[in-house]
This record gives sequence, structure tokens and C-alpha cells, in this order.
Amino acid sequence: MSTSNPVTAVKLVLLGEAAVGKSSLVLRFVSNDFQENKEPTIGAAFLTQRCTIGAKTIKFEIWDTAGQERFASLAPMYYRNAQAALVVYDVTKPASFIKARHWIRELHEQAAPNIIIALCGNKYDLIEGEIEGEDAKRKVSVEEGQKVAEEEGLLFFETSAKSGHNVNEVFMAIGHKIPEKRSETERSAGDAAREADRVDLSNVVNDTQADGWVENGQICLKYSALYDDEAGRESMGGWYFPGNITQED
Amino acid sequence: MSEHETQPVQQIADEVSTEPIQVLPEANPTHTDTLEVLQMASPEDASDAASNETGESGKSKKKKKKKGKKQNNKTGTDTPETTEEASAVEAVTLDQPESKDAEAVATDAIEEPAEVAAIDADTTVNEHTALDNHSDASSSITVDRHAARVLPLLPTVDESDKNLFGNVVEFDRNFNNNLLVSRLHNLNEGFNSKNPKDQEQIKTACQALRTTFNEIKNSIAMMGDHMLGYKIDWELWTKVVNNYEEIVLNEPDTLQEAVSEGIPNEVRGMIWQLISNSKNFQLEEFYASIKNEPSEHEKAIKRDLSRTSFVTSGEASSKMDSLFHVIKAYSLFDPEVGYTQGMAFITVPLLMNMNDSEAFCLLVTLMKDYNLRSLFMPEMRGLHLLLYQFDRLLEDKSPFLYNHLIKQGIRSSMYASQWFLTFFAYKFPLDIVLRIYDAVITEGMESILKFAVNLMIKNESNLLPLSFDKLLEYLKDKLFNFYLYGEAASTSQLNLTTMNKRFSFMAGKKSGINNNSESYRLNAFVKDAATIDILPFYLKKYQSEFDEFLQLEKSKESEIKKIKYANGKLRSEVKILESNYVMLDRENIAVVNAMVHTKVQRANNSDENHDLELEIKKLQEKLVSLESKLPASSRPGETLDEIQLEGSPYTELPTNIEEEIQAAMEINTKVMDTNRALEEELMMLEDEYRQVDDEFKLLLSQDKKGWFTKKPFWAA
Repeated sequence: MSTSNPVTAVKLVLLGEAAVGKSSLVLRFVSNDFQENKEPTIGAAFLTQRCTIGAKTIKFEIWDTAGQERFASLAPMYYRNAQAALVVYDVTKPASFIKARHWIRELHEQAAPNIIIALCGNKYDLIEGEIEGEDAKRKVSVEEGQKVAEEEGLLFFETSAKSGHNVNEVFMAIGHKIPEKRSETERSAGDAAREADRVDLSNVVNDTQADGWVENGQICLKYSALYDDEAGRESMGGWYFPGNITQED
Repeated sequence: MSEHETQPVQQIADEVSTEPIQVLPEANPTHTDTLEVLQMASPEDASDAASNETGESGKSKKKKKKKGKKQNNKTGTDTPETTEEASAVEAVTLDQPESKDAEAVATDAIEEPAEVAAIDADTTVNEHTALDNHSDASSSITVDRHAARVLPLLPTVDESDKNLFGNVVEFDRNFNNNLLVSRLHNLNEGFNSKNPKDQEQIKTACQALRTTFNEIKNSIAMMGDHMLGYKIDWELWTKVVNNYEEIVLNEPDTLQEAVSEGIPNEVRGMIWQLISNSKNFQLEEFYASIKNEPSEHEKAIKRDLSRTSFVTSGEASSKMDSLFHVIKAYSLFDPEVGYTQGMAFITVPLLMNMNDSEAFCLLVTLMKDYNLRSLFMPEMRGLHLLLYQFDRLLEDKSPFLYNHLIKQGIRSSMYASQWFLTFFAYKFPLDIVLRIYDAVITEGMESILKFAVNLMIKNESNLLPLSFDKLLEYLKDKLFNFYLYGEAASTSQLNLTTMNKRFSFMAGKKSGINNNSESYRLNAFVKDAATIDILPFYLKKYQSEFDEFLQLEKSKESEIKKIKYANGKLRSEVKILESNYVMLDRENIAVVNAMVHTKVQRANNSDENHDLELEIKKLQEKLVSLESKLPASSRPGETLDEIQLEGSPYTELPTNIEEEIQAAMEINTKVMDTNRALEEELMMLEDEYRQVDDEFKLLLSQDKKGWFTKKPFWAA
């Protein structure tokens, strides 16, 4: 916690169904403490924690929100400016996993586009060492969690606020990701859709090449000129087609 | 609750509403409680003025009343300045009916004092905060000002209407207790809107409560007050029990003071139920019938109850089952609300004062008639409204603090949501919540704003120097320390005390003055809160602002939705166009390919043709040279056959040459044919190409959106 390091403040919001252990995760991270039967959060709670990652000191400003559906109208205020979000579910409660996916979708739609999201399957202590089977307590498999995380580009951890398993790791992973993510987004200011279009187009070009279009060097050049040189295209009356060939005769 | 008294009020309201009314633009016409009160007051002035012409009695009578009231408030110290102002405005109003052309002049007169009132309103805030420290004295002064402020807004009333306003005199005196009166008004309205059968039920229930009250009163009287350690003002509470309306209208100050000292624990439950008309045998039966029915919220309720220390520790723990049943029954009774976290906090104080079926009835009453429901409904509209009203009030009462919080990025929803959703029970002890409940039951849900605003104002100096993190911490945990005994103690110690003392008085019976060693200066807290004057008029104004704001937000949202939808549609259109484009492109390429192919072939063919022509030429030359070797007698016109037939020397000419020539000629013709065919084919292909090209150009010209003509998105 050296003061010489620059302190980066990271706004982090916790989301997830009621009683999955959001407040407990924060309590573990902030105070390294655990309370059985933690009180339900009404409204939201705010906590901070500093930690050093490499040469950087990160100050997590954590908004711990109320989980009950009813309080959802209060949540946007907290995640709107958040740089990171912890979406928590309970590995023994499949409904909480569904809710987590809802939150992820809402974050993707409403929160900052570069928000770092970590998916946490909490209450790992309840299923630790458990053998898979019919009456297993675990209801959400690691694979399911991983799959969602992969699809949505999230960090993924199975945690236990009770034992402390992976709790610090989640926050560290978020802390690690903070600067990388930022520089990346600064570079590509253009929107993602445009990028995607570009990819589509290159496929088109390749397709035409596969059709044997390259046989004629001259035409192939003109064709590709369309994509690189707007002036050339526009000088041909807004259309790129190689006019000299048709006019030759 | 005598009907004959409320009836004329209703009638008056109806009569008045048909009159042209000068309404403040902000005032929501559907919420005319305040206005009605104001309107009711008007004819009194009018009749005062009327009687003024015949004799001084009316006016002097009123003045006497006013004086009497002020003495009631223990404000013998009439500031000369304020009385002057008040009477000045009063005079303007009183002038109205004296004028011969009453109506015309009246409208002029109305507008003028309205301005006076506006200026007055501005000064009130500052003066009020200044006077706040001398609490008691200030309230009655502001009262007169509010009266003065609203009087000019009164409608002009026909002479004939005057006699309708028999007992409205009382309303005039109750401006300072506006929340109290407005709550009473809502209560009466609610009562009158019920069908006679239900009204009868409520009356029976109230009678039952009165009987219980009297029993308790008698039993305590038998034991003697000394057993309690404090005195209960039986006279007052008996009046409250027997005719609440009368005491609200005639002795509001006495009532408010008594309430702010706390309704005696022994009778609190009964008084709550009586004041709110909550007890209902039918509903109790309903409760009994569903309390054991399963609810979808059962699990969530159980889980939350077991982890809520407000419930699990202290006296409330013995009521755990009742609490569970009441909340579960409510979730069944009102599926739209179901169960919301926070309900337990609201329900515990009820159960501490009555049995579970009564508590259920009161919970239903609070939810429905007191509109607590809006706090717990999905979207929590009521909460957002309270937060908005709180913001406006704080802005009004302490602009410095308000601005500081805004600058620090602190929104009231960050700390005050839990205050309102739990009536402060989330952080503060039960006995505080009970006292807050006293106010809520008598004044309505909005009175919670008094407590909230008061806490903020009292902590102003502590909050102003803090920044975001510290502010949130303070707002969450330390606000109430202001009312701890031994303020000198360090903050950390205070926190400890808060935790320890949280449930310490749950069993302690108390009312009136607290001389126990309690850690909170509860009376000071409640009394300070009572000095925060919150007029229903302003609350309504804020509400309509909030509604407008919400409306705006909604329309924005729907617009965004529309735009998003349109965007989606355009996107799919783009996709279709793009795929069309790709297809056309490919077609085009195929045509060009074929064309090039043909051209190459044609070139090859023409080369071949050329070669063949050369060969023909060679052969012809050869023929000519051969012919020239022939004897002169030979006739060039004769065919070779003839020459042969004539047996000329040329017969030596080998026939195979002739055949060769013939063959060459034939080949030549064939090649020429092929050539022609190829040329035709070429022509056809060119035609085809031109057609495709035209088609393409046509497409281009139809391309209004410019998908093709614009700089392509991939070429940026």
C-alpha cells in the first residue's frame, strides 16, 4: 500500500439474485471476515478496499446492491458508470444462474461497453469435494459457468466467501484486466460493427478469387481498387466496373 | 367518527369545485386536499367581512381566536413584524366582498397578494432556519405566514354559498398541522368511499377497540399510575379514542405534542388501529383462513427473517411465527406486491403492539390507505417519489448540504432508500421506529420525511466537510449519533453503543418523558423532527413535478426503444442489400469472366483464320505458278476435268493436287463457318453483357439509400 504508486480508482458493482452471497463476498474481500446469516441488503451498501497489483495500487469502490428483483430499479444508478461488475450466482441454485445471465445481458446492453465482468459461482464450500450424482448439492456445473463466461467474454471463478476460496483472486483478476482493457478500447475508437463488416467483405473478395477471378490480372486489380480507392471508384461514375473492357470493342 | 360532521365538508368541496378556482399552476388538480382546505377557509373570511359591515363582532371574534391559538402555542412573543404582514394580507382578502363589483375586483385582488405570498415564501425559509433553534416559538409564526400565503388563492364565493361553511372555522386553525389534517381528510375520504356495510364493520371494530382501551385504562387506574413510573394523560387519550376527528380539528397542537412525546405503550396498538380505521373482523377472518396457506414467497420470507437481526434478536424473536404468518398472508393477499425485503421491518413494530390478525389488518391498511404499497411495488415508484420529495425538501431547508451532496455525487437513493423502506428500522432501534410509527399513523407516510430531513439538518456541520467515501459512511452509520447521550464520546465508542443499545429498550415500557438511562434522546429526536414543517401543499407540488419528470423519462425511454427498433430494421435491410449486392457482384464477375474467355477464344480463332488464309494464299500462288507452266493452248476458262477429258498434256498434272486444293478449300469454308458462328456467339455474349450492365445500372439508379454509391463501409 505504498503511497508512491498511482492509485487507480475502480468502480465495481455487485449484481445477482438475493441471498447468493454478494455482501459476504465483499465482506470477505474488504475485511477478510465472514458472517453466517448476513442481513439482507436493503437499497445498496458502499465499501472500499485498496490493493496493490504489480506497480499499481487499485482502490476498489464497491457498490453492493440489493438482490431482490424488486430493487432492480435502483441498480442502473450503480452500474451505469461502473468499470467492473461482479455477477454472482449460487452454485447450488440454478435459478440464481439464470438470473446471473439476465444481469450479464443487461450489463452488455446498458452498462459501459468496456465494462469488465466477472462471473462468480459462489458458495463453493457447500460442494467442495462433492462427488457428482443425483443428490449432489451442486446444481450448476463448472462447465456451464465456463461456457457462459467464454461466450460473453467474462472472467470466471467459483468462489466461497465462507472459506475465502478464490475471493481475492476475482478482484485481482479484475485489477489486472483494468489497464489492458482500457488501452485496447482507446485504440479502436471506431465501432465494432464496422470492423465486423470489414471481415465480411474480405470473405467476399476471397470468394471471387476462388472463382478464378485472378486469371485476369488487370481486372482483379480494378476490382480490389474498389475497396481501397474511393476516388478511383467515383471517377467511374459511382460504379467500379471495369468500363475499359466493355468499351474496348 | 361522526358522519354528520364529515358530510358537510364533502358537500362543500363539491360545491366549491364548480366555482371558478384560481389554482396554482403546479398544483395537481386531482389532489385538491390542500386546496379544499383553503377553499373551506375562504367563506369564513368572507362571512367575517360580511358581518364586519354590520358590526365588529365577526372580526374581533376571529382575532380573539387567533390570539387564543397563539397562546396555546405558548408564543406570547408575537413578533410585531410578522403580525403586521399577516394582517396586511388578511386585509387584502377581507376587502374583497366589500367591493360592489365583487367578482371583478376580487380577481385583481387575488393576483396581487399572490406575489406578496411568493416573496413571503422565499423569506420564510431563511427566517425559519434561523428560528429553528428556538424551535417552539417559530412554528406558530410560520403558521400564520402559511395561512397568509395561501389565502390569496381562494376562489370567490357566492353569497349564497356562505351558509354552507358552517364548521370550517376549525380548518383555518389547523394550517400548522397540515399533515395531520390532510391525513384525517384522507381517512374520512377512505371511510366515506366504503359501502355502508363496511362502514358499519369499521364502526363495530372501533367500538371493540374502545372497549379494550377502557378496560386497560380501568385496570391501570386500579393499579395506580405509580406502577408504570410515569403518568398517562388519560383525558387526552380517551378523547383521541372516542372522537379523533374532533381532537384533530380542535386541539391539533395538544395532539401533536402528545404524539411527539410518544403514544403510551399500553394503548399504542389500539390507538394506531383506531386512528387508521384498520381493524376489520372480516379481514381478520380472511387472515385466519389463509395464514397457513402456502405462498410462493414462503422460502424467501423464511430465509430473510432468519437473517434479519431486527427480527431475530430482542423481543421480536418471540413473534417470529406471527411475523412469518403476517408477511406470508400479505403476499397472498396482495400478489402484485408479494414479498419485498424490508416488509419485516415494517411489520415488527405492529406485532409488538397487537396480535397477528390485527397486525395483518393494520399492515393492509398501511399498504392501501397510507400508500406504503407504492414503496414495495415492482419499480418502487413510491420510494422514488419519497426520495424526490426528500431531495426537494433538503434543497429547501439546507441548500448548502444539498449542493454539497450533489457535488460529491451522492444521491439520496444511496442512503435514504433503506430509511424509507424500513421506517429507519434497518439501522436504528425499535423504539425509534415505534415513535416514527406514531407520526406515520397520525400524519401519513410523508411524515417520515420530517425525520429524514431533520437528521440531515442536525448533522449538517458534520457532513459538509466530508467527501464521497466518508459521506456515505457517515450517512449510513453515524447520523443518529447526534441523538446519543454523551455526545462527547468518540465516534467509535458511539458506534459501539449504537450496536449494543439497539434492542435494549424493547421491553422497556415508556411514554412521556424518558428519564431512564436510555442512550438516545428520543424525545428530542421526535420533537426536532416535528419542527420541520412539511406542507402537503408542497408535497403535492413535488409529486406533480416528479410525475412530470417520470413521464418525460418514460417518453424518452419509449423513444429510445423506437429508435432501437428502427435501427434494427435498417440493419436487417442493410444485410439484405448487402447479400443482394454480393450476389450481383458474383453474377457480374461470371459474365465478365465469360466475356474475357470469349474474347481470348475469338482472338485465337482469328489467328487460326489468318493462318488458314495465308495457307490458302500460298496454295493459290502455287496454283498460279503451276498454271503458268501449262502450255499456252490450254484455255484458262476450262475446268480441270475438261482438260483431263480432252486428254491434254495437262493430264499429267497429278490429280492429288487438285484434290488437295479441293480439300483445302473445303477446310477454308468450314473455318469460315466456324468463324462466323463464333462471331455470332460473341455478339450474343456482348448483348447479354450489355443487358446485365443495364440491369446493374438500373439497380444503381434505384439505390436511393446509396448503399452502392456511398463510400463503402469497408473502404474507410
